[in-house]
Amino acid sequence: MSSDPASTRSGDLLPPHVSARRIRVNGMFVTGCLILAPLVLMALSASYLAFLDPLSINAPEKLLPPSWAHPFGTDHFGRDVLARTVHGAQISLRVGFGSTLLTALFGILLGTVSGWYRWADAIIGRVSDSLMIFPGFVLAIMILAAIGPSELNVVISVTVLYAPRVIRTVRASIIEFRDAEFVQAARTVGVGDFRLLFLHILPNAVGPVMVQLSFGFAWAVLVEAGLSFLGLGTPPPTPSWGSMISDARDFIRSAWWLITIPGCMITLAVLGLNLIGDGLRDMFDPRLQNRGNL
Amino acid sequence: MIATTPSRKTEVAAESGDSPTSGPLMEIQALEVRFPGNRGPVTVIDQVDLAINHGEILGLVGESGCGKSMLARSILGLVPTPGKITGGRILFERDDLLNMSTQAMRQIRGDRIAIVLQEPMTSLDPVFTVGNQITEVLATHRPEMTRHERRARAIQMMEQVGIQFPANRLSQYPHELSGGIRQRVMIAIALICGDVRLLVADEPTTALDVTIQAQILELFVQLQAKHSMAMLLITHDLSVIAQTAHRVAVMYAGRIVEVAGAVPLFDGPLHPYTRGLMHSLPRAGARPRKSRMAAIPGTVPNLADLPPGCPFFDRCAHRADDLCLETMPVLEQAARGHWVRCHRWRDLAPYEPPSPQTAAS
Amino acid sequence: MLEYALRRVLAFIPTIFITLTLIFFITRLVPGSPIWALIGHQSVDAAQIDAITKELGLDRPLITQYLEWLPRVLTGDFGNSIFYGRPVAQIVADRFPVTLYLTTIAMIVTIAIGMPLGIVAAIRRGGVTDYASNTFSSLGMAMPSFWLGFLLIIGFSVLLNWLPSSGYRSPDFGIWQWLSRLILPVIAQSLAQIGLVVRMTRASMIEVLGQEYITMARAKGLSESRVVLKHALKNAMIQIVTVIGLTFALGLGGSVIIENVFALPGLGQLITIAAVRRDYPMLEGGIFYLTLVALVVNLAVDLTYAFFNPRIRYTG
Repeated sequence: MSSDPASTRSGDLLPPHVSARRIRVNGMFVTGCLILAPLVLMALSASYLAFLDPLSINAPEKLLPPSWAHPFGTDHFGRDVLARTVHGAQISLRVGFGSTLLTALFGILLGTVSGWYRWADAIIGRVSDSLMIFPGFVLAIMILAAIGPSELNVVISVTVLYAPRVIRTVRASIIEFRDAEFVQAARTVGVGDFRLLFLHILPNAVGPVMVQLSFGFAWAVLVEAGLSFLGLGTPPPTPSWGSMISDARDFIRSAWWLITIPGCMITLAVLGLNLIGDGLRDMFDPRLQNRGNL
Repeated sequence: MIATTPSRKTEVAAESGDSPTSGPLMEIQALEVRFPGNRGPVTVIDQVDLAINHGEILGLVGESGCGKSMLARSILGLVPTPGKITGGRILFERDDLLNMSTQAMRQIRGDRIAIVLQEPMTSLDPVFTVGNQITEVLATHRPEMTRHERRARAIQMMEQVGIQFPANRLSQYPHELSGGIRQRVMIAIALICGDVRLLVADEPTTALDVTIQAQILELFVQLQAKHSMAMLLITHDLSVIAQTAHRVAVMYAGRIVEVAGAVPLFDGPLHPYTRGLMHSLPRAGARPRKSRMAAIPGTVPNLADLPPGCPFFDRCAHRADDLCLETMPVLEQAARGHWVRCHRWRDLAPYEPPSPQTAAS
Repeated sequence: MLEYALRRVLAFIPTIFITLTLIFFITRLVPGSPIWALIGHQSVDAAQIDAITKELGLDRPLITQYLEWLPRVLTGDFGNSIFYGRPVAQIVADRFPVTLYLTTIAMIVTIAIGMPLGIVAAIRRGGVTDYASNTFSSLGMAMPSFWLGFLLIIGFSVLLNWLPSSGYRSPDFGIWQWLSRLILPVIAQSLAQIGLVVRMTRASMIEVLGQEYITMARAKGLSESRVVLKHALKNAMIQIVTVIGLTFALGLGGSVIIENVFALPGLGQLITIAAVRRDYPMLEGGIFYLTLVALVVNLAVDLTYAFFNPRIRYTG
């Protein structure tokens, strides 16, 4: 999709690569990065800020509204909400990043194999398409019910949930070029499959995949929050944003800060990542501008 | 095949082309169309003056990107956003189309002024039947007609444009038809109201097979005479013009550079650009080729970045340095009905048509 | 058209098999896991575990179990829920309407708001409506629906006391009793969906409005409303219908969360209970029926797609 083989001049052996084109950084991308930057900073610094202990229980100080001592207040165990929020950033972004990385790895690998080898497509393509039958994140719920809730398992289930979509994209761009003239030409002059794939064909999928992965990252953050809210994500007392909201549900009448703060964090993270995705999409392929992100 | 010599049209061309005072059907005056660009507005139609006489075929020729399609769309009030008509007048039967209410303009579109576009596949709506798309025009402009009358009229019109089994075609979708028939449907849509005074045909044969091209052109000529309407035939292909037009206007970089009757123009083109086009035109008997514009060296200049002088300067073989580079030439009358926008038209050697050998190669 | 429809319907059968097969093997990813569900937190010795394993046939090879399981569930018999001790089919049937009401109403609201907003945003591209709807949809898609649900409860139930905060009443109690408990869940459910539909409608409309046949429709002298509502919309619908199908599937998934926020006794809540308590028969049944709804909607979308796209009707 990112470049049209027919548009390359007949004299060119290879299609234009994404990297070769001049890419103009766009406003949405910058805005997304600006929104995300403080959250990433929070996540990275969480472990080094010793005074922010998300787990220390202090019963007399429970359910305190925001103050100088506790800028985000305290929860029903007297734990500092700021500390939990900062550590929550670490959990949420770590799960999101981990599953995005795994999704990229499996998505690109399996997508390439099933796009390049027709026999592989019969298995990989069909299985990954079948996994997309389940509505929403029901598949993740099913997997977690089987393998039990833990941070790593959330990463695994989110990967299984999203990888099929990446496989589909990669496979489509591989198939687009598999029979292209420049590929045939390169083969006749003795370029090997491996070299051809990784140097000349796969780079064309970089754009669409990066766009998809940034939306996938956003989705992973949302799904992690949802799973933790349902009690299937990171088990307590680990402070994930989703489980913080879940804990706060009994106090929505009395302690507004408990529920508003983690929710705002999730919203900001997802908004930032979606904006980055929108921006990347416009930068890589202006023709896809205004497209949605499914 | 129609003969490529313009002899057939000589009388009409001389008549209407040489008497500009007889009150033209449409008169475009100092038309200007602009688009916003990264560095200020870009003028895509610049000071265009052009008259279209009653019942004539006016050919408008130029390379792609010269503004001829934009001119066609301006006439119908359909300049695509974010473009805007920023100046001039378009008088149609003495009314200024640019001063008209949208309502009034809508009543003219499709009824008195109609258009046929280049690509019949993309200009027919893929999700409606041919019949729906033809009768829709009648439903808009002739609301008093019954469904039955509209259908009968559509069948009659389809017969007139040479579509066989019109009743069956009515319920078909565009993708079920061949390119030639689709273009005939487009023509039927344009003429269905039966009251067209001006038919704008924007590259009507470019997307068609060569054999079909000739048929469609012939159909245009036939219908033009039958409905005694005027026609603005836009093309990048001079041979199409040679076969059909009474008068010819040549456009370059958003400006008219030469206007003349078809015979004077083909016999003695004055503008170096027109001469360049002529040299790439195959003579009678030669098969039409694609990409015949390649004969003029260089490419169309970037409209956002035009020099102050003659826009053709970079590609012109006859340029005189300072004057051509710095001053925009005006459209001057070289002979009766023959206008040219060139500083040096008087200095150029008389035109010699290319020899058959060079043209055919 | 008929051939196309027939082919789509026939393709439905293998999909059911694939769905069931995936459900069977995924829930048994960890060998012997259903036993722990049965035992729960009771302390049992190894002999008891063995006995239960034998009783449930869990000691046999997975394939044998699968071949025994598949024909049984195809008749709709997913066994008894471990947690409730009643047949899964019965529990699902009880809870099915709640989920169906929630997702259907949310979908109607989504289409009713999202499509017109997307169309207006496309026509007035770069205008105030466009920016407003873009901001609205970006935020809608970024907010976790369960959080939004709690905010709605705080606003409309706790502070304003206008609507009940949770629970469900069947329509037998009266329309208002029923509807008042669905209003907040529907809002929480639809916001993200609306965002998605607005964006896709806008994108499709912009693409279609740039086509030659739209210029042609204007050149015919049609009024702008006719150009947009007849020619542009019908063409854009081809893409929009697909999006609506995808959104509905997302909505079914989202209902799992919303039902938990508002304590709605639907399929989604059932699936969560089953997942947390590892009630495998109930999990399998719940997920299968929820997926079945998604598949049926998807089929309906495919057939509607053919209605809007004449090229499909003939070529298949």
